[in-house]
Amino acid sequence: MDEIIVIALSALTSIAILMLTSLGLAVIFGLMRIVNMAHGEFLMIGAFTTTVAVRAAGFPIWLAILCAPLVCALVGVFVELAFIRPLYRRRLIDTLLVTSGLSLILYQIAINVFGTSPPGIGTPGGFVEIGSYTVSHYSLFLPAVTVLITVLLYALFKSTRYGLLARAASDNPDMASVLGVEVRRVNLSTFVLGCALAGLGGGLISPMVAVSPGVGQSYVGQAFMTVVTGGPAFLLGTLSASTLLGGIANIVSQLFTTLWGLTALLVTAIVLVRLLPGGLSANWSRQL
Amino acid sequence: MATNGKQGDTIVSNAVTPIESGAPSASASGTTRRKFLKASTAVAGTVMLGGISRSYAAKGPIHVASMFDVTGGLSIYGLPEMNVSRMAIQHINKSGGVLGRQVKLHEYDTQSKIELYSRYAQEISVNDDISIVVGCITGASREAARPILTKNNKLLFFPSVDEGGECDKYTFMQGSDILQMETPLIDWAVKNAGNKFYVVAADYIYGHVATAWTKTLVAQAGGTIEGVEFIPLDVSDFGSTIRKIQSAKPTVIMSNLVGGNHMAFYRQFAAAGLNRNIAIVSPSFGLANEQLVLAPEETNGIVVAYSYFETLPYPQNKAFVSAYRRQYPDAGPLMDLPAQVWNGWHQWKDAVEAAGTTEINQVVAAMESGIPFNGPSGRILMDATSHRNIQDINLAQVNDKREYQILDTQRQVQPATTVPGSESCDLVGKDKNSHRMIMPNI
Repeated sequence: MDEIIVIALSALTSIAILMLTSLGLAVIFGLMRIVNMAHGEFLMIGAFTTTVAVRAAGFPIWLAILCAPLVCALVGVFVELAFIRPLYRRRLIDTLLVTSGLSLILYQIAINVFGTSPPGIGTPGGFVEIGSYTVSHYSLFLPAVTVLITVLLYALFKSTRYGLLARAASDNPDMASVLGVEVRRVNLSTFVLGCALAGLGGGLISPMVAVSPGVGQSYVGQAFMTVVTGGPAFLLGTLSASTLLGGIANIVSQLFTTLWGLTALLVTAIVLVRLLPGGLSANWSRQL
Repeated sequence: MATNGKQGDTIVSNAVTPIESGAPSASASGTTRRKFLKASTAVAGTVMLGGISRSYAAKGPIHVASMFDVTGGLSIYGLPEMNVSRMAIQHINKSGGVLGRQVKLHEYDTQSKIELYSRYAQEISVNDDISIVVGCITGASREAARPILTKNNKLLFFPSVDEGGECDKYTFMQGSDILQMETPLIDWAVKNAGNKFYVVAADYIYGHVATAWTKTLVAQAGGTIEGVEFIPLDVSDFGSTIRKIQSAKPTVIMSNLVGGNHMAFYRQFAAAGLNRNIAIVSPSFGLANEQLVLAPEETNGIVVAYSYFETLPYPQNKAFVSAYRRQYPDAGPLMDLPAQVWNGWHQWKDAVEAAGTTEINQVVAAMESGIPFNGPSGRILMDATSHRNIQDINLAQVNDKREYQILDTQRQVQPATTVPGSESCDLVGKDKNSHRMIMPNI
């Protein structure tokens, strides 16, 4: 019995990590259709912000994690104004090229600033005993905070004026513009929100992984898969895809090996996209 | 390890950046032709007086090369290795060069891309001047470069620890192998932590061969294997692995994990409280300075085995470490790989001077004759049969200040000449013309 509980908790943690590392991309790629190849670097910046705030500035870990989205938002403002703004009406491939280049530059800057093996921070909190097993507090905290973030985001896009305008500006920029929406400013806000979410994700996973300049890169592939599998409802679709892919990956890893877990994730994503080319949420009535 | 200006300069766009290797004073006061000529004439004169009169001094520098990943994901290993390579050549030049000739290092930044290893190996192969490469980091990169280099009569010295199985007349393996490292680790574990092992290993050739050795050695030491799990290199979520370890209830973890993502294992292992009663031993922990990246409470007590640690008491090591700190003040601590780069260049130098030429077969014969070298890691000696170093292995434990405390030193440990469940290699007997790698049977 305790084994089943532990497996279920571990699956929840995997789902939460997948969701947290995909959320920023869900907004930037899912909603705005910008292929952000630098997503991993935004995760990395968030993670570094957290470790530096704890180690150099002595911030408590919770405050340090909250600094991560702020720093990423600032970087996001610069990136949007300098590189992304001219590309909104262009082909997807243009954003792909620009963000790939940005990814290489940010990565090398991180190596030059932090070196290749920067000191990290340990996982906060202790662990709970479940029968003969132990599970760290932090791995239980992640699913809870993921739910909270998702609820807040849903409320933001559903019930605020900004949320409405953001969706309008992405859906049909010309019509939105004609109706008086300042599309450029709304796009800037949405892009920055996506960067901040990536930073928050990076900050939240930073006490669980080893933070190095390459830390974000292993998440990019899975994040794209999750957002694509999620389909047009960028928020709830991504959540469903995270739950499905992360859950399957973890449970198959538990039953067989980690390699099979990873394989199951890929196979599930391929099969889903084959059967539902529009993604999980293709036929949903709500587009959020 | 942070890059500094010096390294930055050599990385830019073109990977090939020969180092200035003029007279000793050249770098400080600016090289002039006259100064250089003066110095080299003086060196040439000394060589003649010494009775080893040869015409080499007149022929200009000896060209050598290093290929390391100075940028990209593997720069964690490649940066310090290139630093030390540069420093070793400067040191050799300051003490008179090789055969009285200065040595010119060609630096190739392979950017953590395997295809660049093949490409630069081709480039080096068509360059008649370069006779030797000290380079490559992963086994995969070595196998991309080695066949090209040795087919074209270029020597390769490989400085990483590795799983064994290389069997090439023109290749020398500097790092310790799994047999040399895991034997003392398993003995320590059985004595101090119990004999029930659980193996976590990186899911590529290194992890698989290392685990084959672990199984053999654990059985010899009277232990049992409670479980084995191979982890793909891009996995950093170890939730399921940690649950399985708790089900298997081992007393010791043998970690054959590799790379940045896998560092998360030690963190999540500690976060779940498993480090209270399960010990970790590893032949790969620390190569990427894991003890710095992770928090002290997460790594305290992990036991590793290498031939080199920064804290070794030998005078050669003190000089090596202080020279490195002077030249690269921002670079992190030195681990086994860069120290082996230093050993490699000096073993090559001794062999070339014993042979009196850079001609490949004569240098190989001199290497095989076994010229002992006292370097930062103590005495090392090339074993002719395996082309691997006979060297000291130090067993060390990470303390609560992110440092290694040496528990025990085993002197002059013999390398492996076989691959478990597969063939053996004898480079002075049946394999004296071999240029191959023995594949494990897994």
